[in-house]
Amino acid sequence: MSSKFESEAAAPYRVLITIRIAGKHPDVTETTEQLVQSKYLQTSKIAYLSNLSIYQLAELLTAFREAHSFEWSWIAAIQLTAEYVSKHPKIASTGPPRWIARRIVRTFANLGLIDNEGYVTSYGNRLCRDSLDDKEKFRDSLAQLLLVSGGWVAVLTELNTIYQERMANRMKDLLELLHDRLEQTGFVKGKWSSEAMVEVLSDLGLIGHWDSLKKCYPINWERINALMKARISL
Amino acid sequence: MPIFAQVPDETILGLAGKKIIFNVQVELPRLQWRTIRIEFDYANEFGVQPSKYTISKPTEVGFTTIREEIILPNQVGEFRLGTLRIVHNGDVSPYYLPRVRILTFDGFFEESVAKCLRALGYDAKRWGGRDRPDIIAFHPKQRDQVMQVEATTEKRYDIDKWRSDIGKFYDLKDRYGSRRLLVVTLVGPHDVSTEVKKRLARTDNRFSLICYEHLEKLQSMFGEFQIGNTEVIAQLGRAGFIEIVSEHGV
Repeated sequence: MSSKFESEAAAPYRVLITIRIAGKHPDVTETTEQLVQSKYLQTSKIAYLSNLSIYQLAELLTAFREAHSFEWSWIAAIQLTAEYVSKHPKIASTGPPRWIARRIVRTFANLGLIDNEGYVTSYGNRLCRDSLDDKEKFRDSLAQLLLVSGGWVAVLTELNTIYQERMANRMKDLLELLHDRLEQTGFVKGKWSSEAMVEVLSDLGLIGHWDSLKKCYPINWERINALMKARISL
Repeated sequence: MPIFAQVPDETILGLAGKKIIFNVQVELPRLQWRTIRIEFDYANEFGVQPSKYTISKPTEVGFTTIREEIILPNQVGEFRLGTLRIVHNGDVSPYYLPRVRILTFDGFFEESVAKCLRALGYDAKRWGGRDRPDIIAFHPKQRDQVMQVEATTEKRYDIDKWRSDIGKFYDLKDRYGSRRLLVVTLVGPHDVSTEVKKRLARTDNRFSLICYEHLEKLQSMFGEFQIGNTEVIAQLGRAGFIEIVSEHGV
């Protein structure tokens, strides 16, 4: 093992520097593609929601809040999630409930929605509140979170590449191709559904419905641009 | 035209001879422009001439990337790498490059252990040097349990080294307020002598030993939210030889 440490100690250290020289307002599609591409380079993993819809995510987070007690813990969060998963066949289809539950809870933590004791954070609380009071704000916040912190720019980048290279003519082919590409790049592992991913993107308004003429899910670059450049406020 | 640059503000730890690679992504302006010049001006300690890159043509994708490398010199200490200058239309925008701390191998290992402990939620300060502990650490949830951490790169951890570390603990514990000793070895469990493991098994509850690979495993489990603070404190607070077993076995 000392040789592994020595190799890591001797390995090159990479520093990423980005430089932007402001000019006239360029076309939103082009700058957004650059922004997305730049974020893509920084992405190593996608926060996969394990087939949860955006409203199921809010429902589960709210359930966490309501279950908070002195004895609440990471394990309790997993237990509650496993019970939730068992009641939803679409979510349970990708594996054993407890395994999916661990994955979901870990994803919530990686997104900053819960802390490492399983308690819902202030950001998670805000999302829960918005899901009940202000659905637009909820969708904006969640979309921003997934794009900026959850690595979902990688999904959009791969989708865009498939369109540009005209690699798929049918919805089924597109979904299969997306699945393969995201797995090959290591962004998502294990059993998962690209259809569920596309559904989340559509619910968040980041892509449109299937366009049978153009054979694609149109990407809403303006919305993506607005979300990625907006300041995140707590 | 305003220039915006994002240069990480960090201190890079490394050994002499380590390569630092700068990946610079330049988003090109849409208006007419002649040239953009990127200059890396290094500190004198590095003995390297400045590097200059000139971008004079737009690209199809609207941005271009530059790769610049530098090797850390054979000189222990902390230095600023230098300055990055962006020259466009007569405007010069300078930015500081990150700092580097060049360490010996032992020092680098001590820093790596301290970094691991911080990632586990500990408040860890590296002292190093003669007559000083390698690291003093405590967890915010157990402030009274101050740990002296000795990080060792010996190729084999034997009874003589164990006695030396115990002796150092007793010499320094009153001065630094430490209540327990944690030894972190670079080598794996097979290179910790049986005699040391026997002593650990029957010694008092202030002494523990963990191999670095197991400390990293603990950090990975904590980072992936498989365990919480309570379990981390319990594991590192255990007396004796500490081995970390993940959910799926060692």
